[in-house]
Amino acid sequence: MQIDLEQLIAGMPGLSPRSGAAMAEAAGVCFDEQDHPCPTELDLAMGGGNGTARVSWREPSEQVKRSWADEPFATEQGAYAVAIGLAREARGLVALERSRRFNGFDYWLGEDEQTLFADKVRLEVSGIRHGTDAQIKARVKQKVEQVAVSDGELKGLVIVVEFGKPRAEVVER
Amino acid sequence: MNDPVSLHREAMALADEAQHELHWGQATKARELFGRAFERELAAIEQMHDAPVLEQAVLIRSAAALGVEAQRFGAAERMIARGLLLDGAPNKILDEMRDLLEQVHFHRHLDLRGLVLDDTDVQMSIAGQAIGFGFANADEFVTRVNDFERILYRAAERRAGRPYREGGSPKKKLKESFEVYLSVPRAASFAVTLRLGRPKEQLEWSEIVGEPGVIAEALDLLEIAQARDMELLQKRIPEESYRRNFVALAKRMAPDGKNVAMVGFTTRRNGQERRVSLIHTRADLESLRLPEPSVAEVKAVEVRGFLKFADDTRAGDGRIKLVEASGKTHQIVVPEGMMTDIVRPLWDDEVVVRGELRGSEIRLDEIDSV
Repeated sequence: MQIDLEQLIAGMPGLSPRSGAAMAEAAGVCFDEQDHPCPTELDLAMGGGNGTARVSWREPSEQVKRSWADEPFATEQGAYAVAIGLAREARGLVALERSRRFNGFDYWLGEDEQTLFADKVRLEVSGIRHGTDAQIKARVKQKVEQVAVSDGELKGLVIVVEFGKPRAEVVER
Repeated sequence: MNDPVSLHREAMALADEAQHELHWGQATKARELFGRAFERELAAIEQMHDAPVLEQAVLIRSAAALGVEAQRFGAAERMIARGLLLDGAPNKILDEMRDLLEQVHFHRHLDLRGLVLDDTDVQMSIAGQAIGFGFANADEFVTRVNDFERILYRAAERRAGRPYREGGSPKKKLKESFEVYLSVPRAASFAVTLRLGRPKEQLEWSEIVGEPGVIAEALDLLEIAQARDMELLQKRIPEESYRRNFVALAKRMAPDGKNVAMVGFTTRRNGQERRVSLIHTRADLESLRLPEPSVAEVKAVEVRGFLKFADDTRAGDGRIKLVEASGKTHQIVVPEGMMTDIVRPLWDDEVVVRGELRGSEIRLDEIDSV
């Protein structure tokens, strides 16, 4: 599987080219800061199986690195880039709609643009710049529990991205 | 196009622009764009009465978030109230609305409500589980007042060009100028006015009370810490000891996310009101750290015990010992900037120390009372 983060610059129905480009930039900063060559292999845990995806990004300039100096924010935005790319490549889902939450957007994935949110999958993303297996498991558990609050009411796709190894874990609810 | 879907998408495009402006530090422009996005989202909602409840709930939550970001708190509050009445809305969306309502309430706590503040007054508000209406857990509150006072002293000393003071108390005249006095608390969740002592005569410190002023500087720095902008912090506080001291105090003042959810300040200077909210928790501020000298083998460690035996006699780094309940002791190196304001107030307490194991010693990174 190939995830070319530069493709996000073209945007999606629910992802503006500007947001897509910003997320892709953030992801580039995170991979670069962890000294990964481009492209790099991303370890995947998905649906009980394991695999890899080859991820590529544009090498960040010094200016880009400085503009993403807020590490938690860059990590979160970079994780969104990887997650949206992964959802498209692994599940054929694209960001069709978004809604505002405090300090960010929720992305709603799907294939059909007839309704706004009703038949869509809400993307739940979490990013870790450099973490252990235990930290990733804990973050996945936390996210899945958050989604479980609304079990049966909202469909959710939980994706946790860790840039150190790098790896991603995907859970569907 | 005035159909609800188009209006919602217009709202999101405006929010996208606002987010971009925010990223580049254009807060005023961002607020104006969030306001326009809020209007579009409201217009979309007005046409969604017959839509499935999930559609209505998500749009209302989205509008409320935009209202908060546009600082239109009253309108956001009304929107949330409407959303909470939706029958059959997903619990997760309802929970997110309640979180937004906390934001709205906190901004109400920052309101001065007719109170007149002098240039040397600061209203400090805290909210969270440990804070009731007009009551606050004493530890949570007093620690933060003391830390704010320490930040003021350090800012004043730094602005006066004084070298970092690792031991002892601030000069008497400085204390007179910046000592904090508390008003009677107000129920707001819990708010007090902090009044700084005024120089009774022309003091050597009076020049540094002037514009932009030590209070304004302290609030600037707390905002920079909340933005987690270490590069800007380095520009504003070039001296490493002062910077390390400030970072540790800013982390301790931040909400813990459990007992205290928000800490806020309101000031008035030259007729202009300023509000600063500390929303990011200590854990969120984890990335704010100073680069430490690299050594061959470093391992992150966390130890718990009682804080004993301090040696602050050597220039530069100090040393303390931590005694575990089992009697095992740890030698802790305390970098310059941490001993007086961060470590000393915890003397004899049970604490958790996080740091790096370097040889047989631990170099202190963070310390918290248990």
